[in-house]
Amino acid sequence: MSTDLPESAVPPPTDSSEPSSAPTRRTFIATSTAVGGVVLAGGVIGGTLLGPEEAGAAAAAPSSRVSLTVNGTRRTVTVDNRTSLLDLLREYFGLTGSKKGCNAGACGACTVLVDGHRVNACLTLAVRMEGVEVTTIEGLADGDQLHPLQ
Amino acid sequence: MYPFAYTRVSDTREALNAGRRGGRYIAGGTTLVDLMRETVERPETLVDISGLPLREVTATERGGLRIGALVTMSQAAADRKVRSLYPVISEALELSASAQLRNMATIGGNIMQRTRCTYFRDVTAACNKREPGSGCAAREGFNRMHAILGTSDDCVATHPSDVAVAFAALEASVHLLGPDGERTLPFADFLLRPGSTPNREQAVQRGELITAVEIPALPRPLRSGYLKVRDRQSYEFALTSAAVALHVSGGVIREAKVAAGGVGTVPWKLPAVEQHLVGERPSEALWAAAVARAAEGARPLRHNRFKPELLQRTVERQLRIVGGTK
Repeated sequence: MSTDLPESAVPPPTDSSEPSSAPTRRTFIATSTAVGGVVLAGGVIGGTLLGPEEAGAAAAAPSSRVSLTVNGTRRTVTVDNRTSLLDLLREYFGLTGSKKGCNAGACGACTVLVDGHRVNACLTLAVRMEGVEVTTIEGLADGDQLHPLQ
Repeated sequence: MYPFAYTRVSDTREALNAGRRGGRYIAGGTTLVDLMRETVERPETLVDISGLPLREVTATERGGLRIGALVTMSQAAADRKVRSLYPVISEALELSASAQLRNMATIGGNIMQRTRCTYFRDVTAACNKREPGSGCAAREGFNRMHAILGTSDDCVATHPSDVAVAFAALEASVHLLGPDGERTLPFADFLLRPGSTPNREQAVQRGELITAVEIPALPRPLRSGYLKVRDRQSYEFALTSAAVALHVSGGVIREAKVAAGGVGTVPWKLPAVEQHLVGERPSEALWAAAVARAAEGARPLRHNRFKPELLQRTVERQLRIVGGTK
């Protein structure tokens, strides 16, 4: 069962409006990487600082529109083609249950289900996810009944 | 990662058109995306071929198997025909990478993957494969994992694939589709030794698309299997490996197919071992004698002087496992 979200993009999670409270590790990471993967990103892609050449090119970086189902909810977003599924989930959709460990397909901390098969979200380009169903750790609960993995 | 254009194609004609214009095919993406992030690979256009109808494993009329280029590693490993006809293929696949990667990576992509040499992946290091003429940091560097066979002054990187060792042993062929039509290459001609052009790793032309890997029919009964020796039991590349297939009839070995991994710049076929086995009766003494020349021509590096002997022992052990000791 999927519910459709009408908006074309959900703003990335950002706690930067919080006034004086000291940043926690999570809010620090969220605010410093929140623009990752968004079309308007200038110098940061998926939380990675870019070299000058890459950053220069980023201004006009090609982007694409993609529709996918995440934990039962249909989402349509426009992403920089370089955005990984992991960055889309974490920084665009705020689903931080999938972790960024090695970001190279080695550790498995980013594992999600794509159409029922486990894959490394860090090595999956978000732009390739047209029409697929993604299930993250957040999506495994059955109502209020948590999945053993949770 | 550098910016790139992205296009998805739905048939091979579309794919070839995009490929001819310089587009880079992406299937599972497990190597390519990783190397793009390291800026080792900098394609301007990615052509997503995952929608092409190349996902079948089919029996050939000749009695072999045809594995579509987009069959995933996990799909091929689980396929009943593969498991019953060529266990060496499913075993090699299941000993590769991780379950997540095997769900993504494809057979075509597997044989197109680049080396795992750490200096190739490090854009600050000299590497003739990544940047022709820049030198080879591995020669005098940390080279425990590197090749001892098929090396050149310019490159000592191993081919990382396990299933390619099985393909080499079984004398598979690679079906390619290009602007000028189809062609088929013996697997031995598909992967290239480095020589003075280590930047060229496969004999594919610009825009050519792999459509399938075909395994030839072999006399039955055929026993086969894959042994991988590595520093840990999971998620590690081979120090040495052996793919063995034997057809024994009337107590005599009639066919022997043997190749080694982890030691060569390409999967290393061992014809001298094969020739020693054919016409003989399986025995402990035969296995030991057959591998005497397995490491012939090896040129070990500073940190991998153990490899020639380990190679011999690996092949001997796998001959014993597949061939029995009677």
